[in-house]
Amino acid sequence: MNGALYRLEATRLLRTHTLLLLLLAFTAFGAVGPLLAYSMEDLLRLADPEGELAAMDLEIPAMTAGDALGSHIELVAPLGVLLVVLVAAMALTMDSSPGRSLFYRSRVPGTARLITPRVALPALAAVLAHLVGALVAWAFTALLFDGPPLSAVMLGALMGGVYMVFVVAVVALASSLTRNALAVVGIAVLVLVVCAGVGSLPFLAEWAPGALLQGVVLPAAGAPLTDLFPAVATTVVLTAGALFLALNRTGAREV
Amino acid sequence: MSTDEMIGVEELTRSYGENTGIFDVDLSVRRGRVFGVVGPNGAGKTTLLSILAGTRAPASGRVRSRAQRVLFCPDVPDFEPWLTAAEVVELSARMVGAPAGPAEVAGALERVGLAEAADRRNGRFSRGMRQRLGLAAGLVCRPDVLILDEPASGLDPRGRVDVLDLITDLRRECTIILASHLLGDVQRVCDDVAVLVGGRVVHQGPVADIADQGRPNAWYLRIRGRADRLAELLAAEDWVTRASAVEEDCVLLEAVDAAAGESGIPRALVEHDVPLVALHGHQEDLESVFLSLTNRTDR
Repeated sequence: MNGALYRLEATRLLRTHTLLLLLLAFTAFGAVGPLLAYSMEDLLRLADPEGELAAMDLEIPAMTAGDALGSHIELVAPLGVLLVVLVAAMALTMDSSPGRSLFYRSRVPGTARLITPRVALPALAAVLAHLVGALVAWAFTALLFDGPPLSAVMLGALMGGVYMVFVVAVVALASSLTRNALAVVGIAVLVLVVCAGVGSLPFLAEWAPGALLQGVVLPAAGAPLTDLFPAVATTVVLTAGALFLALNRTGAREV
Repeated sequence: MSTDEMIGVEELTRSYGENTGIFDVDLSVRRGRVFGVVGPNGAGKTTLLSILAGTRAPASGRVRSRAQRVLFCPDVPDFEPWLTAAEVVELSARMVGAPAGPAEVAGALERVGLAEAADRRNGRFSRGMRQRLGLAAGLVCRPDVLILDEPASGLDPRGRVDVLDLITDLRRECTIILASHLLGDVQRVCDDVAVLVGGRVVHQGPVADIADQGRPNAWYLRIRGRADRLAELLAAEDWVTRASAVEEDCVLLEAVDAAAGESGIPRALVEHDVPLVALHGHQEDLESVFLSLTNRTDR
């Protein structure tokens, strides 16, 4: 283990303000999601000043804590994950510059020593941001609705953290396929969209990595977190596979 | 492997297609020497340096090395732009497992003339400053072999002289392998040189041998009178291989060998009653050898 490379990644997160950006964004998602759910009725009224929707006698169910936390996840799933992809790509595209690549590769023996900190620190930052976002979402939900227990929400958020690690592993795999930073982001997003698409098939839904983000919502719906175990298993296996392939391919790359 | 060899290669081949890459390259770099690698674009210099640095693998052949630490400074070094120069140097040392204290970091930056920029982020450094920083980041690691790819190409004349002086100094601390297009620089700082053409070594040996290939067998004769007339007279001599007027009053004369010219020139001038103003030998330099070797291979 080369401590210098872990320190480098920690410095990257702090000095480029990416950690701050992640925390602020997830905090904002945590606040905005429950507020949106709480204000849904008022928002609909504002969007329908003529009362046409009301005249149709549509029944809009009352918003619950589950809707508030679900609204938070609806923001995290596309925007939060995209941010995590960008943050991970910043660390993992070292081969996009031959000069920089040579600086590291001629000094650090073994690809694993070089890549591991670049996966670990962004993943840690993403998990931390997701936990902070979930905590804020729980606080607003508890304030505005009858919120579920904090411990259950945070445990669910930890399962969502497994998905964040998977996202970083996908970026690592993408960076082993191409050197161009923009292409890395594109490939990673494409893979995640495909995973989400596959996960929308009813018979695969409980096994899809994306299902883990629902860990924050399940306690409010009264469902046990054990429902997510199949998704945890799939995600851990896919993450390990992506990292193995990424290390293998990055090691075989020449500069 | 000879006792004073630090690093060498044997029948090294790495092909990237027809005439691209390196083929059956044999090299031997002695400890404490500055070894130059020259060649036209696409000759395989970077491939050779990368294999020596361990960042590329050969298809066949082998690298012999006594070096514990081989470092490669590319022609355009690049670092995380948000790191200061001092942080880059410190990180470089830590990565190779030879942590450097503030004094060592400052010393390395001082040697390359970047002391004043130590606390500045490198993102806005010029190419020349980055090259110096790359050199400092290499020096601080105390390498056994330092591989420099075009170390002076982006520097201003003053910076170039400083870096060449630094390389000359460094031969006391490590073995240096240097690739450059600037043949004058190679001739100035290198002890040995290999000329690479089409991925093959066409010449290898001490630089001094090139500049000192015995006595010259060609001379410039500056005379009082018409050079073309003298050139005609000299061309008729059996010891002369070539005589041509290069200026109105100057003849370039090539003899079969040095001795023939040394005795033949004074005799011919007296015989033809031509007053001599000046005479100097035409010395081979690395550039002329390089051009001669590359032309010969091209044909």
